[in-house]
Amino acid sequence: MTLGGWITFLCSMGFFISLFAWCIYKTLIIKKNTVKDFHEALEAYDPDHSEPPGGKSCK
Amino acid sequence: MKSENWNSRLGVILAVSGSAVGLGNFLKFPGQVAEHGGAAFMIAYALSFCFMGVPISIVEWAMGRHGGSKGYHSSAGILGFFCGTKKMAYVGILGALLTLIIFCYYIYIEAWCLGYAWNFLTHSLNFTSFEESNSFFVKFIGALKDGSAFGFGMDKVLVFFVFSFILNFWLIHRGVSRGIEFFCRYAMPTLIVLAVIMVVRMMTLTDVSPGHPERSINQGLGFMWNPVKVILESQDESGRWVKDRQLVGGADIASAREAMEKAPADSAPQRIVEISVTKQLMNPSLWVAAAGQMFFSLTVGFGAIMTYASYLKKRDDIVLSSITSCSANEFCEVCLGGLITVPAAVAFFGVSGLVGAGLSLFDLGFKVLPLFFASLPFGQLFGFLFFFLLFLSAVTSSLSMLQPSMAFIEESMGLRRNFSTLLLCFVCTFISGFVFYFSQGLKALDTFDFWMGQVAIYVFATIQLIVFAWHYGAKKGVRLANTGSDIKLPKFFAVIVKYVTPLILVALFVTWLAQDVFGIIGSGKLSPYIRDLIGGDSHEVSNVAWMAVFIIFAVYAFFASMLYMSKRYDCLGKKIGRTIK
Repeated sequence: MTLGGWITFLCSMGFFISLFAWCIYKTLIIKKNTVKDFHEALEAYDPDHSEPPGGKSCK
Repeated sequence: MKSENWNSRLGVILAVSGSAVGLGNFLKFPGQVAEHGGAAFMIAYALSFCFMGVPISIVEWAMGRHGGSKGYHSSAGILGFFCGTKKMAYVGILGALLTLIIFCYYIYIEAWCLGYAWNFLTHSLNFTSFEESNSFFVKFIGALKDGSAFGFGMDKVLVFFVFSFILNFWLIHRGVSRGIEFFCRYAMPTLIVLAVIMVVRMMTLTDVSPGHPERSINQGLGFMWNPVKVILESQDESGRWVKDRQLVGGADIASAREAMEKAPADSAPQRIVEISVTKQLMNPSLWVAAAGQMFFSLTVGFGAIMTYASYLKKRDDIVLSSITSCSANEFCEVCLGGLITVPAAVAFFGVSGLVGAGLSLFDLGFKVLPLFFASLPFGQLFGFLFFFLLFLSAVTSSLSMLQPSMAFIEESMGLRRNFSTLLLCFVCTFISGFVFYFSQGLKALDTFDFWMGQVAIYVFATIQLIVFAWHYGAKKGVRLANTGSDIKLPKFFAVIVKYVTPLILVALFVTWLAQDVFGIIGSGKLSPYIRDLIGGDSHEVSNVAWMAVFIIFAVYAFFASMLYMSKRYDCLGKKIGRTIK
């Protein structure tokens, strides 16, 4: 394999391994920094309404 | 009917990753990289991942979770819900239809993997030549004559087909969490461990071909990853330069130069040319291959992810989960699959030998590699591990193909699990039986794969994108995806999903149609799958192809009649109407 081949190989591997490792880290290690109120707000929020929580009421 | 949910976040990620990781990761991807050039292909592949694979995946996750929160789990229900009309549910049926048909031929290939694993375990595969390996494969799958796949014995695929079929239906009958999630929780880590074992074994191979010192793993890696392709060309009688073979490694190039110098004066002139990355990137077929590989590998656009995501809870994360499952698939494909098959096969056969034997999924997987394993020390064990790895990846994928139609039947008919499993099993037995019986030249399988596994997927993925980004609204869609997600999508994602991804998808589809189907670009020949239906150019009309097309329409009509009779979707417009008010 040529030097260019090694560079391609390592860049491809590096990109996808780093992305996968970062995703696993985020998924498994980092705890969800959420609070109960936030969840309640999300529960109340229906994306079919055009305005996000705190915005104008659709009623 | 009791609503189902995933047990854990890891479970759903493993299930979606499992649906994406399949035979293509280990068999098709390495062949594609080798064929189209390492760096050039990977540039197109990475861009396709960012601008097509991940966006469509997130769209499917977002649509699925939102539809699921309103009680819809099938692509028909979810598309109908998003568009607020039952008419759109008839379009959504396509998602259930294409996954069902793909399942019916995929299970046949799944059975090959299990059969090869079993035969390696029992030391029954001791090939000494490519002809022996090819002959076993052809007899095993019954490719010589229609109906010849039927027959008992471990050298026939039937036993393994029945086992795979029962396993899939047993798992799907157990439900989303107790069946699919349970299986994927064990199968995916096992699959990765097996793949790592195979990678370590392949990378430590030495002296695979003692008579050919130039053949090595290093040459195999160079064949795949070298950015500049070195080609030996010969001049034909009309004066055109025609590709002879690809040269990889200093020794290969030096021996070619030596042969050229020693060649008799009256022989055809030869030359060695180098094709740079830039020149390779100018070739549209490279982009079609890279984007197509990305698209099919991630299992996006099938409607399977949409159904899986519909079992999420309303505030479950989808953005991170989606990117995690996509990256898990890419890890298996690039970092594991890319290191197992082609480097080993080149080390054994050499570049010319491998290209001659074939780089396609079936040739590489079921003809070249079994011969390679048979010649290795402890090759029977490694052969078993490799094909068992393929079998596990195939089961995790086939389960995801079965669930959308299961969800549709349960949703539309309101059937209990036992009855819906029985009904689906009946339909699948008929269609799989058709594929299994008409095994000569794999005509039935190929026809289904062309119409459902390629054409319908492009169409359905485009429909999903248009519904999400244009009908529902890209900005609103981004807000929907961000709801409850651990990482937030940037605002420009709305632009990508509204303009960039649909454009790439449509361009890819049109180029594919022009190049491979209608032959407007390139060969100028109509696709054999079209010729099978209309004949011409000394190509006979195929009755099997026509029967396959008829089955597709019959199953669609069956699903459409279920939808028509169902009252479950009558309130779609009203629901949306109330929300808007």
